[in-house]
Amino acid sequence: MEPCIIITNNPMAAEKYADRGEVIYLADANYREVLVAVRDKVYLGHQLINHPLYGSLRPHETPYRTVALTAKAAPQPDADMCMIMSDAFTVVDRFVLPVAAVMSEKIRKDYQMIDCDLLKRTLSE
Amino acid sequence: MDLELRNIQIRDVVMGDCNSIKDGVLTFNAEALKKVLLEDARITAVRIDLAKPGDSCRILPVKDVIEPRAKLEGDIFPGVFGNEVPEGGKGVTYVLKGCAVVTTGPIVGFQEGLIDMSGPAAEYTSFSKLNNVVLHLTKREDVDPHDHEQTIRMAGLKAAKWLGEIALECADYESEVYNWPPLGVRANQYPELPKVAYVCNCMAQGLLHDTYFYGRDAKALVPTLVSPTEYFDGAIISGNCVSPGSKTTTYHHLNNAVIKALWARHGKDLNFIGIVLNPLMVTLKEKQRDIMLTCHLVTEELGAEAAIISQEGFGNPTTDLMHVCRGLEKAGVKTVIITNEDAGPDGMSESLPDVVSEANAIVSTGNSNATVMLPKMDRILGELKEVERVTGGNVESIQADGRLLLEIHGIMGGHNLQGTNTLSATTI
Amino acid sequence: MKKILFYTNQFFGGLGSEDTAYAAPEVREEMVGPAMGFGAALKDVGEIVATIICGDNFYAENMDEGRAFLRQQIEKYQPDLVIAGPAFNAGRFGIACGDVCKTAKEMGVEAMTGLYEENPAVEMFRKDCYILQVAKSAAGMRKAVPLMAGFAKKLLTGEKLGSPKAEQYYAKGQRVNIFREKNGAERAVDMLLKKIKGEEYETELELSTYEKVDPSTPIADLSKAKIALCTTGGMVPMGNPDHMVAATAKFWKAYPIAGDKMEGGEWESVHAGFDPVYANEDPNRVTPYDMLKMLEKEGIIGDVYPELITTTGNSTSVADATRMGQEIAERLISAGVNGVLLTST
Repeated sequence: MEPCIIITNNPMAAEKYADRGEVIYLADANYREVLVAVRDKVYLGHQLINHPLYGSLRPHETPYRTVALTAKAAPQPDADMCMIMSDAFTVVDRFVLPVAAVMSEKIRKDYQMIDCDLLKRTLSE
Repeated sequence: MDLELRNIQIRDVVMGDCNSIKDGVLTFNAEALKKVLLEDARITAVRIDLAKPGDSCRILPVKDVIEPRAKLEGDIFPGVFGNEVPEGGKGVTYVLKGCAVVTTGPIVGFQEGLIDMSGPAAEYTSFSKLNNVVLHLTKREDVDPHDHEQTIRMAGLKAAKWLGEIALECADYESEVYNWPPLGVRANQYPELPKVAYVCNCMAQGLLHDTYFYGRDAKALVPTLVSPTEYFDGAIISGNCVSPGSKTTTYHHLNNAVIKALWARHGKDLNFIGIVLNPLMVTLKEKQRDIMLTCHLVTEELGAEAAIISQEGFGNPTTDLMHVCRGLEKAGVKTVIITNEDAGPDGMSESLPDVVSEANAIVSTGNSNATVMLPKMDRILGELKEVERVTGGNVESIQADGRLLLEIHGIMGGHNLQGTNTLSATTI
Repeated sequence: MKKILFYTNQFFGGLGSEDTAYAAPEVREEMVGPAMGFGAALKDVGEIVATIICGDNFYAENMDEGRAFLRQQIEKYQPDLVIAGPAFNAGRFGIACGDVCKTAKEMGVEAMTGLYEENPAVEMFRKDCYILQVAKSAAGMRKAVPLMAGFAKKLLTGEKLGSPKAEQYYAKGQRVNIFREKNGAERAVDMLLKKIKGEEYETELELSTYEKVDPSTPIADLSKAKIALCTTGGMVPMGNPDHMVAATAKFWKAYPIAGDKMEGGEWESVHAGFDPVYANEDPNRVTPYDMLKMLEKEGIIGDVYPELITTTGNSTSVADATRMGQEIAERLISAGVNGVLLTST
């Protein structure tokens, strides 16, 4: 696959996908903060590879997000992708985000595993 | 292709020494069923319970719901069992109406999906009106989540087939015949009626977010033409249980409400021209490809003049839904979409995260964030503490007096996006 | 018998007109003015136990006092319903009616009023209470009374309400779950057949979509550009000489600006959609004229257009906003403006 940037707050994804591109691991970021970092890259012309709201777990459930972007930045940001990010925040801001730290280790690991799994295909093509 | 469904109404299910259907009462030998399920070495224990309409009983977390069916010849759920993949949707299929296999047991810690057999939640889902055979499976310790999911999925299907086969001896059925000739014939059958296609969106994203077509993972699929009768024979299987309210169980696929509604008007008001199964993927490029191919199949291959799109999932699928709708409308195909809404607990938020102006005919299956207070139940099948992680539930879900505050999103099939239920929403 | 508390203003309450607009609230244990018509229409289900009469200017300028008075009366009479107005297109009376209903609702008492569609109070309070659709002026009272009384009857008896359209009230915009007769798939087929035939159909979810506006090309050299300051924040000279509205604006204004910044005390925001205290304290917070002047001094921009272009964006319709935008653009283009800084609230 073409070189990419992976922005994630999921330690399992950061480790598992380390060889797929430049991993920006935001250990302390929440769901929304990961998307803010993604949006900033989109504004700089990087293109979204996966949809920021992939999966069906809602923002008040899973604390984890992993988003892949093209390593290469286009001279202009992609307007549709800017809209996708903007719409994503409209959705996220409707929920009270969970705090990963108060979850049991098992639940946290399960969320990390599902998050990795949803991106498996994206990052293997 | 022609399929005859032989429907047998089941009004009660009991466990007994042998298997029989008499006067609408299904009797089955639970020990024999357990034995069949335990053939899978990954399962160490099986518990079978019955949950009937009106019982003070709560099942959770539910993984899948499956209607017992069997083929007179060939395999039900084609491509799922064994090495051969027989063609589905032809011949004779026996159906046990009024009952279902329900699989439960947590694969991950945050799992979800509730069925109440009485009380307010029972009004939301048709599963509360069925005689449910509930399977609780214990896996061998070293089985990982992917294997575990597959184990439970297979056990549910196996049990549905095993129970369905009891019907093969039964002569007390109502027959329904479905004729589905090749496309060229269909197109000319009712030349004066508008050709209507059905686009069935299905999740194809990862563990607990999957769909299977003839046993194949839909992530490896592109949009595909499917016949109604293949649905009835279980060619489409659910591997989905995250966000239970908006997920399509195998039961829903077997009884696809859109197919039924279109069939009821077929040859009278419209010409039901075909179905496109459209996988909802994770990457934008895959989404784009599937959106393009779905529109291509509906317009160029089926030549439809109108279409209904049914939805599945939360968040990113709205992008697929809206852009298929836009693509079809731009090609002159009149389109109606069926979707739920996430309008917030107070109903004051924007209902959908992504909209196009072409989406001007929408059927709503309700606001999933609305809450309902559920009474305490006498019997719990599954694990009540799991609801703390239910979609729409949270750590405060369980009240001090045992009641449960739940977003209707947590109810299995609560606002099914194939339009199975009467729930909807309106603006006041 | 259910109890109803009625609210009206100095004019309908018979105190006189403008000269009594500052009248403090009073309560009478009788039906006054329009209350009589409502009392007659509702006599089978409820009784109007008292009428509150309050001057419009008093309520608008002493809201806390007005509310406190209302709360006392609600405590005292324990009504099942508060009916306010109808206020037709009267701005201050409309806001008073809306605020009275909102206050009652906060105390758990059902409340309703009647307003003309362009009354700014419609947008301000439609989320908080039932506002029935009535005519522009008091000439519509004869029609308003049966409409509102019929609706009040339903509220009092608990009869099922129809859609906003059927009941003729302004939709709150709230999505509520209902069970319909047919299942979703059958409804989809019904809707599709109507759509195919070109017949009228009703979507169950109306989505708001907006026209995409392509951004214009960037200004090549900012240091030579003339920049105008434009706002939808309702910023006007203190005293609001042209009666800029608090919501649903249909016009815009241009006011001269000079000096290095906009002075507090000389300007005010009349926008009803946010707390204007901080904007009034320092108008540059909404319209950063001070920053523009600084950029001008530093040579980053060429110069600043000497007028503030202003309107109120609160609930303004897209059609009106589009028209105003075109009008504003014409004026600015003819004045040689190269760029606009548009601020909202």
